[in-house]
Amino acid sequence: MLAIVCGHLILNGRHPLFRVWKGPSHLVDSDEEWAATNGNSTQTPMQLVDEGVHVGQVLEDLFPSVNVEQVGMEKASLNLNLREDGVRGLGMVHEVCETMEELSIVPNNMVEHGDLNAKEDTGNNDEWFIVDDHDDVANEAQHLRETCQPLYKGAKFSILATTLMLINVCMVHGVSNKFVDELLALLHKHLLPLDNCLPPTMYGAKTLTHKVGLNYTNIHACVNGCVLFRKQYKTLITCPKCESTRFKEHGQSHVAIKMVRHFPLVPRLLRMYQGVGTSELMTWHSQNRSIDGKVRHVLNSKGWEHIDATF
Amino acid sequence: MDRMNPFGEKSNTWSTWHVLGLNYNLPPWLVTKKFLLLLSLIIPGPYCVKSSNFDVYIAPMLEELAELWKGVRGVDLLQPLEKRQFIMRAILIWTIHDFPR
Repeated sequence: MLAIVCGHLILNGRHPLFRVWKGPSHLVDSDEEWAATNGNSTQTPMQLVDEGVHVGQVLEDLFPSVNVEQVGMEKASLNLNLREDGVRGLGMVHEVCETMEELSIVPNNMVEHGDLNAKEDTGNNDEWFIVDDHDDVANEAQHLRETCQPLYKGAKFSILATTLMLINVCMVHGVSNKFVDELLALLHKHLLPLDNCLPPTMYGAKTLTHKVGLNYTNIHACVNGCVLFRKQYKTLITCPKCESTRFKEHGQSHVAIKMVRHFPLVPRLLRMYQGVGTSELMTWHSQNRSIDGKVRHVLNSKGWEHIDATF
Repeated sequence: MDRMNPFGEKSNTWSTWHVLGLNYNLPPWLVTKKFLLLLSLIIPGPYCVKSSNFDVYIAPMLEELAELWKGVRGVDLLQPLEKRQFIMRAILIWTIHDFPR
């Protein structure tokens, strides 16, 4: 078989339309293998978190409206070697959000809930158009810059890295919010050098990580799935259809019985274009069309072409 | 979209639903990597999502998709300075899911 192919190649030469497909060097099946081919596979979650945070620094450099003058293409190309880290870091931040998400079940009291939701709602609306709003991006970048300072003078990790690592560990093992509070307070007051900037409470830690972006929203829902308590139903205490209650008593406070977590897509998609590495991946499809009319990917389909032509 | 059991206990009757997004802009060998999956919704149990309340739960996501259809202003860093601002649109190509009862 090989001999025949070889003979044909020698006789006929290479097909003029033949292109080297920029695919992976070999088939990569699992995430671990992918990580292995793209870097050191023996990383602990800790190192991964920290890498994610270094990427935070990269992102910060690249925040468009703040550094647009200084960051030219030269800088972008310099940062290209951080590409894979960018991808992993993004995922890491995402993952930390997820784990935070899953285990933040221990309830706050009702008033706090209301406040938090209100804040998150408005925050989200702003974020959807984050690029329109110069101040917002500036604030976010400023916040990133602040949180990427070392934890204390001569510390190995940044404030953000430390907070993420601590929260991640706590969330993975499902400890209570009180424990996190006390752990952070202990570290902040007694164990770390006096000039450390570790947030002393869980609330502080959460706000710190939330301000970096890519947040989620909690939406209260009716137990029987009749409505989500948002928009016109935002202030109701009972479901308008089945009259079941929205809150249950938990000690002295009220807790929503059912909460749907919503991770907004738009800011995440936008963020993917803002990182140099991921931006390159996001535009992969336009550079790698098959030119011989064979369908190798959705992008060769009629529908995709139609959409391209329409917009 | 599918149901899952977050804590891996097989006899558990609790059913949590999640909605995942895949980004087909990415190279095919990265599309399903967990770093690049877009988790959009987590709908807690104890009961399954039913066809009667399916639309209620995915409403927030649908709003976002509508937003993306109209276009959201974004910044692409790989472009030269004057071309960086672009309008990002996204279109839902298909869904793969467990049918709610």
